[in-house]
Amino acid sequence: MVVRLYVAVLPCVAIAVACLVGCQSVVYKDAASSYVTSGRVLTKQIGDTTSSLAAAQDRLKLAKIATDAQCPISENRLFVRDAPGNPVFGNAINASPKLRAMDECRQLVTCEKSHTTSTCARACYSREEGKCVMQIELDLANASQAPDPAPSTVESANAVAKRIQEVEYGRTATTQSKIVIQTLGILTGYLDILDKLAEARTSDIQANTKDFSDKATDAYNGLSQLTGRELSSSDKKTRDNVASAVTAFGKLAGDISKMVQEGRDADGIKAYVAQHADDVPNLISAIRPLVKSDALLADLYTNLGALDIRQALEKQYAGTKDAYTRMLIFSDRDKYQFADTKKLQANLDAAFDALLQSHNSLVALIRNPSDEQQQKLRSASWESFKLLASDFNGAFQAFRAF
Amino acid sequence: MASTDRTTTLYTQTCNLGIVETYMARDLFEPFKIKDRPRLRSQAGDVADAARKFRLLDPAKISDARITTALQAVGAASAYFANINHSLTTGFTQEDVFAATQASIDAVLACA
Repeated sequence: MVVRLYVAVLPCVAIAVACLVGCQSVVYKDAASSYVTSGRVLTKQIGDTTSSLAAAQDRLKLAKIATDAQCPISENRLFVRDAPGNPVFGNAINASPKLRAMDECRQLVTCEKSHTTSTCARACYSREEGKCVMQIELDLANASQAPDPAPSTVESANAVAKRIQEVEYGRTATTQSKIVIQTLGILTGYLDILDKLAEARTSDIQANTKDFSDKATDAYNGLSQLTGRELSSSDKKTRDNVASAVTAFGKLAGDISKMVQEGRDADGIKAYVAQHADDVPNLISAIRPLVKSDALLADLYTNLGALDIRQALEKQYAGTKDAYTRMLIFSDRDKYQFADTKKLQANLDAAFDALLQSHNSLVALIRNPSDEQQQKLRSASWESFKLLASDFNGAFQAFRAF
Repeated sequence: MASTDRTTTLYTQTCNLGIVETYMARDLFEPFKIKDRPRLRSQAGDVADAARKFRLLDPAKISDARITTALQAVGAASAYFANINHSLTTGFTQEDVFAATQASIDAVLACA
């Protein structure tokens, strides 16, 4: 027993001694922890942050829906009125004889102009108006997906998409959050490959790059499928930027995999990676402002929601006769807090910096494997990456108070 | 045509202005009074909606001059709130702050 234990301990001691001598502070990662596995947590959190913008706006819409007992809440899609005078739906209806002939659309045209009649004064679009909105969306999506659509068609499809985003309740995951999630998945996958290249684990590289290349292709297809139906004009620009970077990654992974299969020498592979060293920083700088600014606007809507809901709570508290129910109402009060904007923004920056730093030190290490400074940097950035993935979770919970 | 950097700055500062105003609606420091709360809340909502609309614009289609005007307006309104939060003397009324914030909302919306 003692002997067996000794045998089990010996290799560890050997590694430790070897490390003291030769490998400085290179971190030995167990098989289950890699950039991909740690990154998955981070990716989800950042993705959730982006979609929290939609959630925060929805809370405001919810408060408005709740003011009107006549909102058609059995419908699959609910649209909430804002100020009258927006011409987008009216223009789309006018442009189509089919829509012009629909009674439902006539009502929509009237109510978009002014809220004077009783139907138009409601908090929600009526069932009929909702039907017309969906018809407009479908017709324009079909028209803009025809081969070679007229520029005016594409433009009005974008305008309608924007308008629907403004008025629809529960328009959950925004296009941007989908883009961000896809991109971060690709990014961590790539970091893993670099990590293996840095350790010169060639057999792993082969399996990894194949897998990564497939994923990059899937992500690219996914991005392409976010059609005009969901995209506003600026979203489309973002998508184009990110899609080209994702394609570049897919190609990169494919190339590396091919080189490994052909038994090309390590130097050739390293040179290739170094040549593409700018791809990652470019991708990160494309998505960083997206995520940060969405988080900022989400914070603003979260604060507005907190103010409104606390008011509603106070009203309910005042109208409740028995003390126990008042206590229950009171206990809800703490759920509605302001967002911790500073902390969240700092965390997002740290997350992107960690990605960037990991990448840079890995590339430097691939270029020059014996560089002790880079080895230290690499292990440090790996540690901070891992830490962030767990710590970000906590920060995020605080941010999403309700 | 405005650069992406400047549009991002304006967008970020507009969001920050809205956030500061929600804090003021919550904490109500002088010269704001308790009766000002609904107005602060509703104006902060207008700032948020202006930012949200601005976010969907294509930077290539916004004129540089309008961005400059809006940046100045948002800066002026933010300066009022900063003054309230970080200094002892306030030589202005809540109406001044409301007016400056309204001017910011108008200037941001004018970029469309």
